[in-house]
Amino acid sequence: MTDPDLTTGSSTDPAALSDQIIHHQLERLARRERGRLVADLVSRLGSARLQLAEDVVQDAIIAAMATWPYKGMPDSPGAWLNRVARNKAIDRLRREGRETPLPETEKPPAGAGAASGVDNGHGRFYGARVEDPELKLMFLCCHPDIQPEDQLMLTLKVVSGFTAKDIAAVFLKKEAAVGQRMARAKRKLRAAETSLTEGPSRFEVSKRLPTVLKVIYLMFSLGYAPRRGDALILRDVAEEALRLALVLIAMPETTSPTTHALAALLAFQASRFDARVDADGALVLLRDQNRTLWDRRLIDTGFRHLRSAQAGDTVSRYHLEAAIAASHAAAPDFASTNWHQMQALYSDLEAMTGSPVVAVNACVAKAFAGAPQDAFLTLQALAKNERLQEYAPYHMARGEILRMLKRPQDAAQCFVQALACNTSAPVMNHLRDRLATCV
Amino acid sequence: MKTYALLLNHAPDRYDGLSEDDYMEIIKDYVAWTEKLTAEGVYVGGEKLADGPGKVLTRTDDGIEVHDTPLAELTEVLGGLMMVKAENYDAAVEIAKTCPHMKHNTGLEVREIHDVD
Repeated sequence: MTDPDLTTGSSTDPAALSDQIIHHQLERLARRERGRLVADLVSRLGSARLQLAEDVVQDAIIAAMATWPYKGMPDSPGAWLNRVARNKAIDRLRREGRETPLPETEKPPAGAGAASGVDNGHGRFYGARVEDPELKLMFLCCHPDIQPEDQLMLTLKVVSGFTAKDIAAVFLKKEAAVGQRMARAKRKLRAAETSLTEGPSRFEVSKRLPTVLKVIYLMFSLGYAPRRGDALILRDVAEEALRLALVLIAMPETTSPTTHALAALLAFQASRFDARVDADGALVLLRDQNRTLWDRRLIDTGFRHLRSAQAGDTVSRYHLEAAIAASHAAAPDFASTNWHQMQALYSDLEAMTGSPVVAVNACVAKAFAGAPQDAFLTLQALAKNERLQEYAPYHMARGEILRMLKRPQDAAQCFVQALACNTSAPVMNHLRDRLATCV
Repeated sequence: MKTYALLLNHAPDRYDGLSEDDYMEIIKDYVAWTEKLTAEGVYVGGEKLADGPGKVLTRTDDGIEVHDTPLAELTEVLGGLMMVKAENYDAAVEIAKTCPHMKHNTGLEVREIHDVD
């Protein structure tokens, strides 16, 4: 272990602490504010201007990174970014205006939204009232003219502020391919010329809801288990996803048993954040977690939404995943986990989704339920799935089950393979520790 | 108390081709440092010079010649300046040593600002 004096010293030194706060603040700003700023601009300029909005927000962030080291951080960094991005948007629109035969207008773009919404009394009456700008943007990006997977990628990118590289990792795809698909999706969106000020109709909102739920689910996953970087959990990302799910529940147009199931799932997962990271920022596995650190309030929220999710006869993947998470939340300790129930839920989930990632989790449950040999063979059969080869948890699961089977040398190989995948620094450290126990 | 300027030089291609994330890692250190010094009342202010070539003016017998900064020929360019308060040069140098510029780049110059009082 590390020198105890050193570790306590670094966490109590106020200078080091404020240093950490600033690092964290900047990280948050670049990622978190990006979605908010783009959403704000698009709500003023319309969806046809999504690319412009993304560009000027990016320019504002770059301007911040260039000047803040010298000038110091502004009192309200979010407002600073917002002002700079808006000014850049006005500049761009003016420049565009000069290139067209139309006379140059001095009107700021803030007025453009109001102007286009002149005759939307009808739309307002029938339309869904999605007030949250980020949710608005999400519903807009989930346009039916765009291919379903592209909708997911575009919306996740625009709202979460993650880069194409991060998004590519989530979809287990190549970064360049993801970039091309997003560009195509934006062109389609531009051609569709929907106005965000009016927003999609109530009918459209209900049609697009499943995609929006999926984006929120993916956003949470990105926060829960980042594929790179120093942080084990990006709490602000995960918490924002939970917040969006709760906003959807509060609106009559978007609340549904499936929305409740998603909120339940996210609340259960978020309840374990404090227990999942130790004082040094290292990963603590479920079996080693101090369950008194689990957030009871979030667990209660989870159970409350799980009950509401059972109204009607819908069973979505979120229902099954929430049931799995609830089962963990209900177990007083790791030993009393109901692995047979867990295994049954996972096998339903696997049948429903056909997802190789779910299949990996199902194998882990099977191993703990007392059939590690069987579980290992199923995992080996999954090896031909190329997407899993670059997925660290797959190799990690194989390693853990091989350890259970008293095959440390084979387990070591799996941990080495896991280390070659994209994952966060704390998970890397964890893998190295596991590797060390195999020799 | 005197005011000292830290002239921050860097290689012309220092920040070329960095991903936004990598750039952000560097920026975080600088901002944290500036904020800390500001809180201590040591930091006076600073300016970032725009990237890219500037203009060089030369007086010749035929008048004044104007050229772009010959970036390709330079090993270092001035990226910006920061001003801090310190008792004397030694103290200013001690502050400058803690500047993240000394971690992320190879050097800087400390100059006392000429005070008329």
